[in-house]
Amino acid sequence: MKYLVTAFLAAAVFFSALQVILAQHQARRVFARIQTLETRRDRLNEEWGRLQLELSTWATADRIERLAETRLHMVSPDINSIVLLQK
Amino acid sequence: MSATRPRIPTAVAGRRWLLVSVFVLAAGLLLWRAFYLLILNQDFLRDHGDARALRTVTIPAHRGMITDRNNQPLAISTPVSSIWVTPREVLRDGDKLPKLAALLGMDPGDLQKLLEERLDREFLYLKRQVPPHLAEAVRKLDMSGVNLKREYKRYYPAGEVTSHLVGFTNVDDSGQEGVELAYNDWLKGTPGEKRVLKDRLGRTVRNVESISPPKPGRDLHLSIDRRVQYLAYRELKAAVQRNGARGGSLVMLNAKTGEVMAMAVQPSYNPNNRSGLKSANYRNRAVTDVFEPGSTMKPFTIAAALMSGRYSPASLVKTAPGYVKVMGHMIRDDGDNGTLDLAGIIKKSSNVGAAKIALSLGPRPLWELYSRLGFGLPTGSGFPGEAGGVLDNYQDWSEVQLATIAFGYGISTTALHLAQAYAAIADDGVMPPVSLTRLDKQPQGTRVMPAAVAREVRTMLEGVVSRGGTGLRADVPGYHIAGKTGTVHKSTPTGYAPNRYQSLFAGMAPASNPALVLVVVIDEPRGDDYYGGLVAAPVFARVMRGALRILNIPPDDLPAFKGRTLMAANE
Repeated sequence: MKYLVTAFLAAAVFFSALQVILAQHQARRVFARIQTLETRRDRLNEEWGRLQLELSTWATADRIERLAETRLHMVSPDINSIVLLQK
Repeated sequence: MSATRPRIPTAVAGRRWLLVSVFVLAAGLLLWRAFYLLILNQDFLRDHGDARALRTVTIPAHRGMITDRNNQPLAISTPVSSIWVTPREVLRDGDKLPKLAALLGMDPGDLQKLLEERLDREFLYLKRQVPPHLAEAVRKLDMSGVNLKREYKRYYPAGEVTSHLVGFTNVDDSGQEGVELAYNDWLKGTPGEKRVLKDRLGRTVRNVESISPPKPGRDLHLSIDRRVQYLAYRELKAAVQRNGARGGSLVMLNAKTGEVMAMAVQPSYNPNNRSGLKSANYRNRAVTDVFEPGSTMKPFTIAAALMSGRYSPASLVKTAPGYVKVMGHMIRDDGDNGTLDLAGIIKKSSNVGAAKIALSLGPRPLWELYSRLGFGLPTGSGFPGEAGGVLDNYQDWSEVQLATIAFGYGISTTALHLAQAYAAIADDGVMPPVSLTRLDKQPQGTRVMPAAVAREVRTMLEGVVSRGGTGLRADVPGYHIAGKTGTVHKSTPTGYAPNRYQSLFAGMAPASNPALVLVVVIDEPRGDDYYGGLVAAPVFARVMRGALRILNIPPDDLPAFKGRTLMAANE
């Protein structure tokens, strides 16, 4: 009986030691993954910021208005060519 | 083998035993020491190892984004790198120094000198916030003692268009001006910490654990609409240039909620590149600069008259012969307007009429309305450096002061505050609190005048933007516009300057149920025109017209369509 308990405890210690190793390993892997993802996030953030700047240069109301007038020959209608829809 | 072992002499044997026991003792000592270090006192070496290699580093937190009311970005943080060095290490790797200097655009000799002067320092920024491609090039040099630190840089996509409202941050990502400063605590994040293993040269070998993750700052949604802001900025800038003016400011408010829809200031600056700029240009004139509102105060004088019950819209005031003397002080109109009703005083902007009404009312009713409108105090927008303006106590008013305050001299305010006061006329007598941020629900306004009075004043203000009124140029086809012009002599330490003016226009649209309030101030126009109706009113018309279209506010001037209206199919 005494031997049985000892053997069981020894097995338990061995098992938990294995689990510690496993957990450590997993923690490292997860941590490494976080690092890669964070780098990726930063890169994407950086690109997003750059694209926002680009968008704000290309899509200013000013530029769109100018293009509409020069390239598409659009004009804003004067009051005499507007028909009002009433509810 | 038959060879016998040679006999060892006794003396030699003794020596051998001595030697063996010395070896055994030494080995025993070493073993004991190993046992002591590895088993009994195992923390000692580990702690020392960690102390040399383990470092706690801070992870910068992302600062919140500032957007307009439609979530369009106005300020965003993007990751960049800063280059820092340990001078001693770099000098040891001296042959690559010219290359590094070339990348950073520095003179190699200067760099050498800079490093030598700071030889005993462990940490020295060489260049902060460099663009990604430069950081990559520096990394590829692979010099010992040269390190990159991740930081965030703030970009302002709208640039100079929103610079005065949004403000900017310094190199350490802390707000310095404008909303960036006012809402710094809301925007800024909490930096995180992690433990890393570093080698002798300070390079990170391995991430050990994260102590606390960085907490990013919160996004801030401003109340402005970027499209309207662009339009307002462009028109203001054009008007300031056309008139050779010193500057200008413009504020547009949502008449019901008090949200700032646009706020433009001239001269401006580019917040993305602030080198070589005068800090005077950082000032948001619309909020920090006070001026005497002049004739734009007359609607409030008329409102006070109506509230007193002693005047009705039909009351007549004699303004002939176009001037009146109060305590030896001459008050003049631009001509003889004869006898006017209250609407006529507003329409013709008669100083004499306003002064006579004020003198008949006495100081108290006027002061009560003005102070209820908050004149003399900041609006409470929370903008850094907001000015309050001046409103003296009525008990100190002389008769001349009373007469001049009635047409806006001897009292001062900001463009933002004037817009807020006009919002009270726009929203049937209820003045909303000013808000720089987008509101989710209608704020609680304060009633400053009865609804009937506000409506009557509004009708009179429509007269200003009609044939014969001073503000005809503020007209927007299809909409009823209510507003008031102002042309103010600038006060100087030696009295009022004879030929330096502020040209003003304050108004609202659509007048039947105002949605927007707009105030335009042009500072010292130097062209031939300086009247508010000629300089500021056209800016009002263009900005208001565009804003009404962008914000989809339906026209209220149906006769202007001359029957070109259709009933839409019922939904």
